[in-house]
Amino acid sequence: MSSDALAELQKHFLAYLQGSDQVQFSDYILTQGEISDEQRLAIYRNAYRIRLKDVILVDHPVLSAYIGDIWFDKMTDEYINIHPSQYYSLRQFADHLPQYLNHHAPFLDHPQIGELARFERLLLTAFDAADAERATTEELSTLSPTLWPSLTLRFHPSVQLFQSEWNVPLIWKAIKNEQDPPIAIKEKCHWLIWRNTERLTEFHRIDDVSLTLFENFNQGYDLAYNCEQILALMIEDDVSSRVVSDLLGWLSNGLIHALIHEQKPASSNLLPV
Amino acid sequence: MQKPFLGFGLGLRTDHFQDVLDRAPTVDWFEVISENFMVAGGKPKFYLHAIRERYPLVMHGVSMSIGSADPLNMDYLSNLKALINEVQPEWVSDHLCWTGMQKMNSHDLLPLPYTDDVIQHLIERIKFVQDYLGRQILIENVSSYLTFSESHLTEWDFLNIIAEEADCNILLDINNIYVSARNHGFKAEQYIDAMNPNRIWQIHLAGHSDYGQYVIDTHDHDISEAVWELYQYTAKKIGPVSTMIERDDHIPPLGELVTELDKARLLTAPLWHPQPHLVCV
Ligand SMILES: [Fe+2]
Repeated sequence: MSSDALAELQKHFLAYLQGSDQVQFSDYILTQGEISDEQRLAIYRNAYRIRLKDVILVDHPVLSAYIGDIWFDKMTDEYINIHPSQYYSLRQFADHLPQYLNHHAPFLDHPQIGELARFERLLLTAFDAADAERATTEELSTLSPTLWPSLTLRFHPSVQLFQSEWNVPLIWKAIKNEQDPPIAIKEKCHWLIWRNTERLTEFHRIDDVSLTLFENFNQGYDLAYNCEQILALMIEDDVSSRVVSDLLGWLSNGLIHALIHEQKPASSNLLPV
Repeated sequence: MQKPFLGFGLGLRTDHFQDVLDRAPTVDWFEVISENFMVAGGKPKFYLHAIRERYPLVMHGVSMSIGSADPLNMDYLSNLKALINEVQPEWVSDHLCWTGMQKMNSHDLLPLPYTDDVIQHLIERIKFVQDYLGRQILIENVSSYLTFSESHLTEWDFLNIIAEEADCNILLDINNIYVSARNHGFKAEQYIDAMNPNRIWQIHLAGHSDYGQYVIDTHDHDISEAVWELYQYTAKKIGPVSTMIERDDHIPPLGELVTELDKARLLTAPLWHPQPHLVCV
């Protein structure tokens, strides 16, 4: 059997697994004993689908419970056809699921479903993101006041920003706690997702001030710049205590990898001109 | 290199991570699925390192696709090499199969036609992988449900020739031999008899689902009596080989698997460590 013939056989086998009957794949196999060729092939075709469906169920337990068995089968059958795995690890197989749900009926008429899938995938990202040290509240409290204005920070690699249009994290939480989920309602807000020091994934809702601080710090802007930015969102007297309280909260929850307080050379190129 | 004997091991599964640390079970070593730990960090990596500090590990991969007509996936191999560096396993294994081509991965261990050309293809690729990783690998026989019309060799000849010519070792899955024997109608003992004992560095034991006409390698049951018998036959034939149990579904508490593993110890004890005869005075 030449390498071309092997390639052709494998191509046809994969097409068969995916449901194509264009090529009579049973022509490739030997008829043996009491098991028919079709039965032999069907074992592979079934195993292929069952394995991938199971991956989606394990990655998306809450989404699966939320949409129920009938829609789960529809979703997984179609997803497997449209997005066959291109990865050596099953960890990435369902990466396109949110996008699939946002573009295919009946799911696209219920946008909270695609959003729930996106939320669950971000939880997975936080779950096995890179490890890194965590800065402590003590590091901040012992920092010389002269260094505060130029303070920048680096978030822990597990930290993810989730923008929701729906009350998806509440739906997720209810199902996780085996309660009836709330009715889906439009609710635009922001959430931080991260892995805590016990390696458990957590999330919490943030308001516009925290969002501004998170985004600016995440882009490398220093504390002085941050204080200026949130002045627009609150009264001046509250600014410094608010910044300190957010920083302490992030530090004690393990969201910050490092506090950086050297004078940054040429950091001004980050500032808007 | 002399064949090492690690004793009796288990496949490390997420459900048992914490139990392994808390209870320090009497398991001589663990086998980890390489792909499950090709992630950046978090719980999987934490437990991998914590358990590695306490037990010897071997790495078992499912995505090398050594029999694919496609070029080897260098991205995969480089990640595998990095993980090997990190884990320092006793050895590394994958399967005598292919899993995909042209960018599509079936994530299944698919069968190969047993022909001379395919043997040459596998030998070249195994040699390349061994050179790249700087170590010998073990290749495992998979369960199969069909035979290609092109095949003109038995699986055991196919596997033996490849192991000799590529100078790799063999992970012999006793359950897979049993499953394939039932599905293809050959005698499992004939397979065992044909194997070169020196190449067999590891044995897998597992459960299957028996549908009467055919058997599927599901890893979701206890090991069947027939597979225990075949294991005993193998143990007698080839001598001490590191043995482990793979369980992938309906995973019981760790203690139950440890008890099942004890059965392998008991069955092989008289064969591998004969007791001195008691002399009555
Ligand atoms: Fe196996």
